[in-house]
Amino acid sequence: MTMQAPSVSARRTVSAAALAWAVAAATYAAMRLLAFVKLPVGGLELWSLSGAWQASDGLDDPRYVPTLFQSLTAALVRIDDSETLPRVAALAASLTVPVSLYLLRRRIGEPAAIASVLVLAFDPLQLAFGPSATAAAFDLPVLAGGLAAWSALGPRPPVVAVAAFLLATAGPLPLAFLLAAALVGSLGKWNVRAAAPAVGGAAAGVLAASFGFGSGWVGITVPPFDLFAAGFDAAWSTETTGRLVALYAWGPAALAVGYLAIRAARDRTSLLDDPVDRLAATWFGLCISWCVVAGGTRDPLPVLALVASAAPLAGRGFAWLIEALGSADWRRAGWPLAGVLFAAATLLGPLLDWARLGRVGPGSEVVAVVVLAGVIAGGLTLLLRRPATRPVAVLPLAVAAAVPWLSGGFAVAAGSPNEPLPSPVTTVQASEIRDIVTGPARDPSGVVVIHPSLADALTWPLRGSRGLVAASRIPPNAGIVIWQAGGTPPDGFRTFEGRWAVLEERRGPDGGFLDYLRWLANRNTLPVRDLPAAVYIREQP
Amino acid sequence: MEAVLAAWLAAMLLGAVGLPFAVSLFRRFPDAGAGFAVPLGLLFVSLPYFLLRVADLLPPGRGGFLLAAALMAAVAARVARRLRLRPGESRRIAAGAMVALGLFTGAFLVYTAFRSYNADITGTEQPMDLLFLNAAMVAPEYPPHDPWLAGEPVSYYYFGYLQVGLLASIAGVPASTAYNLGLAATFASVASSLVSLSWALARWALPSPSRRFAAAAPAVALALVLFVGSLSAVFEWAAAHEHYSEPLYRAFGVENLLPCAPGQSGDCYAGPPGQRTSAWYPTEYWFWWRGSRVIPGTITEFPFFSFLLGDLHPHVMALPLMTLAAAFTAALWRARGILSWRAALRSPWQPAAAAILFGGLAFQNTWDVVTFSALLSLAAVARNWRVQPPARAILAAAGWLVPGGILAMALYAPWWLTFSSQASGLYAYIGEGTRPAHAFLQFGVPLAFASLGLLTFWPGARRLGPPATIAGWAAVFPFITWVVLAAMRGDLSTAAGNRGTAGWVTLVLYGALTWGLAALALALVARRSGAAPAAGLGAAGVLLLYGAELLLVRDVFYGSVPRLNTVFKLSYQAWLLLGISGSVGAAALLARTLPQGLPSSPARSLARLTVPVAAALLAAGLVYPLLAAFNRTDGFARPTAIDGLAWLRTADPGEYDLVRWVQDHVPPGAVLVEASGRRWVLGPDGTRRLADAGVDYTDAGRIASRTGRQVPIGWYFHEIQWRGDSPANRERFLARQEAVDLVYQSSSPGAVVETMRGFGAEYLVVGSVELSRYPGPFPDFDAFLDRVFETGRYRIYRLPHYEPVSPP
Repeated sequence: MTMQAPSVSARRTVSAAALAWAVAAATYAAMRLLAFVKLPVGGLELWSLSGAWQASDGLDDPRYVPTLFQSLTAALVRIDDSETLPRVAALAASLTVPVSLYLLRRRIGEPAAIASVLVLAFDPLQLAFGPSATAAAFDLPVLAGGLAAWSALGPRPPVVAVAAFLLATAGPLPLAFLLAAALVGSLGKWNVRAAAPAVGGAAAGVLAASFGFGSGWVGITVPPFDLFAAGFDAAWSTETTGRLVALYAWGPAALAVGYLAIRAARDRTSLLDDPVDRLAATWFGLCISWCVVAGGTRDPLPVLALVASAAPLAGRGFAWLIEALGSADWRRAGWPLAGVLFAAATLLGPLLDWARLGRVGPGSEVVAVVVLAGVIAGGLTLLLRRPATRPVAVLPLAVAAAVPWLSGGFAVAAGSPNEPLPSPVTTVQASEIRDIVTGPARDPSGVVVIHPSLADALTWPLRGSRGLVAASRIPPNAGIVIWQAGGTPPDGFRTFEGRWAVLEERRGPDGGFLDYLRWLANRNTLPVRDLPAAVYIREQP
Repeated sequence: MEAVLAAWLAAMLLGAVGLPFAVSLFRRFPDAGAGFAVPLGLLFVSLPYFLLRVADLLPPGRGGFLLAAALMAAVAARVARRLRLRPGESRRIAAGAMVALGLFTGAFLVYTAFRSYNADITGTEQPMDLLFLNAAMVAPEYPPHDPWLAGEPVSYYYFGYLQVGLLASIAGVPASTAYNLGLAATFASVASSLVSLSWALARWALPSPSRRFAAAAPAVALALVLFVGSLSAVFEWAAAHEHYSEPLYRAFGVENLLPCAPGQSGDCYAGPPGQRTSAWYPTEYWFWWRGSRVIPGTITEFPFFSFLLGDLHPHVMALPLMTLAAAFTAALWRARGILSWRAALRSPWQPAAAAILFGGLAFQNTWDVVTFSALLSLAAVARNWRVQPPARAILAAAGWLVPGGILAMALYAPWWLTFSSQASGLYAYIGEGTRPAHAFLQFGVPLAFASLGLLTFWPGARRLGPPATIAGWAAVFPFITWVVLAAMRGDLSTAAGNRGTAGWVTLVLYGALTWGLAALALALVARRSGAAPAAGLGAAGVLLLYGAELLLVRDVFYGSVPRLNTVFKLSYQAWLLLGISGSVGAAALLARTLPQGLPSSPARSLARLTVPVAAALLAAGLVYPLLAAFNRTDGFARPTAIDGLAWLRTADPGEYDLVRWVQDHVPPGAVLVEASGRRWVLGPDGTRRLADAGVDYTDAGRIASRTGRQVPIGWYFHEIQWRGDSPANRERFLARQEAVDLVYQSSSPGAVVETMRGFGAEYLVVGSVELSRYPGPFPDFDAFLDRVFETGRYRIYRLPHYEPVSPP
């Protein structure tokens, strides 16, 4: 028996692209798995789960917007009353996004598609909402999947009908993309025959949502519209949309803007000739508009849309940057770049010190900072002067954008206890109140009275408890009272000792640049505010 | 400042949506219709919003407005792609858009700056306007509820409020700020629309060598329509500085400005001599108000007065749409081809656009739809008449117009079904006629400019002959109608006598001018002259003034001031039409007089003589805006604001906080109880008695007005105006007032709760109005209601909340 060495031609080879796809997809999945395990229930997810729970109990609740996912959640919480199953569904859906991008790689370019997956993999917003059970959990997967199916199979009637159904029962994220496609004419020409499946699918979706996916007539409902509109009045986030952009989304947005700016400077009018760029730029512009319009609201969905729309552009920009860096004149760029990086690293010292102290340092430090800033500006100018070194100038800026963005992504995925995303979150004490409500301390014949101002926060933590009543006055048949903190127990009730907080609010850094920098340096420095409550139990005679 | 910028950006966004529609409708205009982009954007987004809200497909709130804008942006993009632009057209559209953008922006900012000196939403009918604006913006269902009559839909033409609400919602500004910015957007929209239309009409009217003078028309149109005011201001100015000639003032019917004679107390100046003014302009409080009350027994408002006063009324908000309707009519006439049902089938978008536009006019200010639909019909017939005999031209035009009319009714059916018109027939006017001096003071400038057409486009007596015979009917028919209607009621001799000599003179002058301009328009139509639309608009304008002298539409004011609304609404339309027509006449006059080297002729000499007269008249007309603007703003020395409720924050901070709390915490569909507005006092025996039942034009219903939340009853007589003066309505509204008063004066908690539940009310307000109207003490609301808001003595109570949130 002789051993034969395998021939070179028969050896299996793995292309760099395949390896990159595998790494990107694995990273994407790993980050989401981490978030799946670590993320607390809060913000939009708390709102969505509360609505779905009430719907599953047969109660009307404005928090139930019958998107396909929220209907699924309402069904799943009947099987298991935790958030696990809906989160599994959301995670599974979000894991289809890299697959969709893989199928779309020829349209958007392979390096750009891989880079887009990486952008989505580390993005804090995508991590907070990708694997969590929000009403809009299917939005991005449906959009990406629909595009992939369209790209692979063409506008066949079944594909169009299914896509229209899914879009009509999704949340508002795909709306901006559809509008962008309509504005730039990417939807192509539609005759009656081509439009019929789309109209039919969408009508079926609206009808299904209007019937609550079998739970009963809830009035004519177009879930994407309703969820879009609800975002202007809801409190799905402690931070406003504008501040969420500033805290988490400016990195990919800046990369996308940078890419478009470079394209515009290089190719001038031909930027609009590339259909993918044209569509992506319009989509991105619309998402920026959405963020501007919703700036003062507490809706994270526009920010989620902004990052999603920035991903293809940022991906293309990232791919371009890597390619451009490869062909850059490093002999000329090396020293200026080193100077810029060195100055930036040195500059961070006093800046972080100021951030820690909360004030600007002495005059000598100010002079040093100004000089270092001048060195950075000078180095960048040197790099920008020659076409061969220009791409190198983008590198420090890209790093400056990526560092805070990446740290946000990891902090969110790890469920950092001070992270403003997702906030407000439900608390451990709220779950303990559930134990009291369902435990032996409760008089089984009495109702549990919750002050109206606490009722929404307690819907999800007290799920499964019977006899809950939201009331502004304590009825005679009350057994347990969950009331605003700071008062005295009602007559005939005693205080159930403990520090009860039903909701936890985490805010981002307050003031200007130094506060932001301090937060970046140490993300656990932010104050957390509780929504306190008092628990009273009827005294036994 | 952010609100101003946001509103401007929202207007630009809507303009971008409207631009493709404008280009496809007004492609032959010099600016390709870009001046109409903003009003068209507002129209084309508001209508789908309204329909989709009625169908429950769009959610309420800001999101719904944004979605409607997004949907129409997609449609506009499709329309834009289907425009097959010829070489060079893109440049013309871009230039037109830039002109429109600059003009809109300038007018918007200038008016906003002006309005900031008197931004308060208080007095006159401004609370009512804010009420409808709030209702349009926050209504949880459509058609919106009437906040002053809980549980019932609005019975008014509220499309203008919906459009301002759209602008405000896209911009994200509150209604109290949007009110003022809505006025600014209306002003700017009229300005850009007027420029577009008058420029086009002048270019069509002037022969090729003189076309450069068409550029004068927009400037004159802006001056005539938006700035010129009553000539009475000249007399006001002189009187303010004690310069007056008694015979002259009496001759012009402004004797009310003369000092009171011994023993005279009314209709004269009763103050001390030499103290009428403390500045170069009249400083008497609201002297400019008299400029809209020159003709006794009616209102003769004009655009500058409207924008000065700042009431966001339907007739004001309809100005851009009226201009748009006039432009659509002119463009329809100018185009070629027979208008018939076949043409409607071939290009259905055109009658559809007419349906959207003219149906919207009815929804926006119902008075306008009759006039402008008539103009549209005449334009359609005139277009067909070029190639068809009259009878066939009429028949074919009907085939094109009727489907559009049916579509208009269908599109706006949800509104028609909830609207209860209070017009109850056409009647002969049997009162005193307008004095020629008053007619001159009020309408002299636009009438004079419109009459310039007779001079500049005069085709010669021979050519005018046959059309003059037909046009005579334009003057004779209204008069015959008046005779028949008056005779039918047995009032003919009374009517003839009441009119008075001065009234007859005015009537004859109006009739002659109507005849002349109608004859000119017909003659120009027969010659296929491009000046025909301008002459036609002028004829229509005079006809409206003439018609309002003879006939009236009966409404709730019939018993007291019978022709008030008829003259008010028709003269407002006339002002616009005469202004547009006059601007073309002025451009033509300049084209005749300014070029050097032309042979002299009697017509040219006459034209040369006319220029200084017209200029003097225009200057006299501009005295009003100059003086009134300084008077209204105290010489631009008042503190500025753009929030219409900023005054409340200063005057009564607690009440302001109360309003804001309601806005932030009370659901839009909720019903509150606030004071009925009637004033009660304690009698000597300790019993309460009603001291003053007047609630209209007061702060009654102020929470509903400022928040859009419903209350059981607001302004009593306004509800009568909107829903009819019937015993049933009076009884119903009175019962609501009684019930509300009972809530604040009852000693029985059960009665209070029962009354609140009867209205579906959850909240009860105790604020400044309640404390001032009811002598107290109030029931102990704390004993049976939850106190949910408190500041100082002001409180808001809520019915105790009890709601199961899990199965038992």
